Amino acid sequence: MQEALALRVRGVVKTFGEGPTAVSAVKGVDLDVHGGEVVLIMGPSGSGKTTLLSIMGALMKPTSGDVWLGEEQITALSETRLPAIRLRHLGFIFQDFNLLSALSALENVEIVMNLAGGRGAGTRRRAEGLLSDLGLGERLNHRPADLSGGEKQRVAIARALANEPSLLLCDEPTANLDSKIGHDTVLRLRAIADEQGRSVVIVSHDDRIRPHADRVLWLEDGELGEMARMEIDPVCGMPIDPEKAAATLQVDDRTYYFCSQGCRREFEERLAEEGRPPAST
Amino acid sequence: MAVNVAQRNFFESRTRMAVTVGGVAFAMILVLVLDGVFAGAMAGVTAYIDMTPFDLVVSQQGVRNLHMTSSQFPSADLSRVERVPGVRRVDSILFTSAFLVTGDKRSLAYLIGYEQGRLGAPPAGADVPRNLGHGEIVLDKRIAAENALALGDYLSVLGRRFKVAGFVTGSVSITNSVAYIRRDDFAAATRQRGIASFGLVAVLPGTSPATVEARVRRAVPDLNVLTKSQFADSERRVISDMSTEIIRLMNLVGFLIGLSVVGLTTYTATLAKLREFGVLKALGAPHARLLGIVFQQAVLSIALGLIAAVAITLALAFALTLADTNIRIAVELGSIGRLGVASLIIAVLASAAPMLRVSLIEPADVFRR
Repeated sequence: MQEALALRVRGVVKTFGEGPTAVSAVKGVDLDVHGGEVVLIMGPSGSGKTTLLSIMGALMKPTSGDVWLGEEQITALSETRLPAIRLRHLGFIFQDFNLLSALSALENVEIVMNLAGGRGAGTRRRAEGLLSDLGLGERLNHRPADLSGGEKQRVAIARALANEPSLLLCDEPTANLDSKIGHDTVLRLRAIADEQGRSVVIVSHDDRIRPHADRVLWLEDGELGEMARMEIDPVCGMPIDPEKAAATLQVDDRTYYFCSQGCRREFEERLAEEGRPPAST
Repeated sequence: MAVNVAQRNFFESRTRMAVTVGGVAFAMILVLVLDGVFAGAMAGVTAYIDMTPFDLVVSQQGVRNLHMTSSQFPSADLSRVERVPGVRRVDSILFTSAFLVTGDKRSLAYLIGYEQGRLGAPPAGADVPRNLGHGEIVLDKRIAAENALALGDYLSVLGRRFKVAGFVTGSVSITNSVAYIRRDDFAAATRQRGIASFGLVAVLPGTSPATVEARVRRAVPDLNVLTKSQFADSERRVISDMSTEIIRLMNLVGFLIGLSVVGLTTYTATLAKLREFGVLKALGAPHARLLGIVFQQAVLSIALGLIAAVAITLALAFALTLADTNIRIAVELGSIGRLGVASLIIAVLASAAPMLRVSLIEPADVFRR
C-alpha cells in the first residue's frame, strides 16, 4: 500500500520580473511525493530546480499554484507562519553544508532544537544521539572547520533530522563530496526514507544517485517530466524529452535523439567512420 | 540552557573581539577619566567649607559662594545674628581671592583672615601653629612644595611679605587652594576696619540649622544666610557651570567614538555572518531571534568594554594616588551609571543598521552558491 502524501504540488508557476523582461523559472509543475519516497529531480543548470526546491521548502512563494505539506496548504499561509512550518516539518540539506562556523557539531544540531522550543539536558542528549547514530560520537565538540566534508554533511543531516521533519529537501547533497563519501551520503538518505518513513526530495546533477531513488524526474525550462520517458543524447549524454528533441536520426531500427544539430552532426561523422550511414533522418 | 549564538559568534574571532572591546574601552576611558579628573578636582572646591566647623554662613546680600565673589558688610550686624534663638556663637572672617607670590611663581588661593580660637580658623593639626603670629601665613602643603617653600620661608600676598608658619593639607582644587593669615593682618593689608566678609554661625546642639537659618533671615533681612550644605552646593555649582561645556563636549566625543567603534564592528561582524543568518532564517529562526543575536553581540561589546574601561580607570586613579600628583581621578558610581545608560543607547544605535541588513535577507538565498 502506498504511503500518504507528504508533499503535493499543483500547477506551480514562478515568474521573476514583469512585462517583456519576465522570466518563467517554473511552469505549471505538478508533483506528488509519498511518505518514505525518495524523489530525485535532475536537470541542466538554470532549469528551475533550485526555484522549485525553494517553493517546496516554503522559502519562496509561487506566482501561482499551490503546495500542500501533508494536510497544510503552505502557499496559503502568511509569511509569519512559514518559519514555524520550516522549523518543524522540513529538513534542509545543502551543497555547502551551511553549518554555523562558531558552533560545535553538537551545537549546530542543538540550535535547531532550541529554535523549536527544545531546552536542557534532554535536548542535548537527543542531539548527541542523532550525531552518534551518524558516526560522529567522537566529533561532537569539533567546530565545522575541524571536520571533513563527509563529517560536515553528516552534521547537516543530523541537523535536518533534529525536529523530526516529514520531508527532507536536499540541494546537491553530494556535490562537494568525493565519490565514496557521496555514495555513503545517498545511502544514509535512502535509509532515512526506508527506516523512518520520511520523504526525501533531492535536486542534483549527480547521476550516481539515480539507482537509489524511487523516482527520477527531469526538470528543463521549468517543466517537469518523468525520467523514464527521457532519451539520452548519444554524444553529450544529456537526457532529452523525445517530443522536444532538437534533432533525430534513424539508424537501423533505432531512433536517436539529440539536444542540438551539432551533436547530431558529430554522431553522423562517427557513423561514417564506422561505415554505418544512417537509414533516414 | 539554549545555545547562545551571539556569544559564540562574539568569541569566535579573538582578534575581532580584542579590537572591539579595546576600541569601546578606549572611548569609555576617555569619558571616565575626564569625569574622574573633574570629580577629583571638584572634591577640593569646597575644601574650606568642608573642613571648617560651622552650621550657617551669613554674607552680603546676593553673595552665595566664595569663588569670584566679594562680600562686605559691617561686623556690627553680626551682633543681631548672635541674639537669634538657637545661635550658639557667631564669628567673622575676612575673605578674598589672592595670589601667593614666590619669585616669579604665582598661585591663586582663597585667603582667609581669621581670629585665633574662633570659627574659620585652619583645622588643628601637627603642622598648624596654635597661635599664628603677625606676618605669618598657613598654606597648603602641596602648594608649598610646588613653590619650594619650607617653614620660615617668605612669600608675598596682598602686597605684603608673610612668613610660612604652618601647613594644611587637602585644600588644592581645580581653581585654587586655601591660605590663612590673622584677621588683623588681613584688615591692615586691605584697609578694612569694622568690616566682615562672612559670618560663620554655630547653632546650639539639638537645634536644626534650617530652623535657625529661617530665624536669622527674618532677624537680619539685609544679609544673606545659607546653611553649610547650601553654601557648599552653591560653590560647586559655580565651578561646575564654568566647566560643563568642555566636559559635555569631551563626553560627546567619547560617545561618538564608542558609537562608531561598536557600530562598525557590529556591522562588519554581522556582514561576515550574513550567510549564516540566512541559514538560520531558512531553517525557521523567528525574525526577532535573529535581531536579538545582533543586539546581544553589540551589548556584549559594550559590556566588556565598560568593564575594561572601569578597571583601567580605577588602576590609573590608584597609580596617580601613589604618584602623589596634583591630578586626582575620582571614579564615581554616578559617572559609571551614566556611562552605562549611554552604552545601552550606543548598543541600540549600533545595532540598527546590522538589524536592517539581517531583516532584508531572503531565506531562499541560502541555496545560492
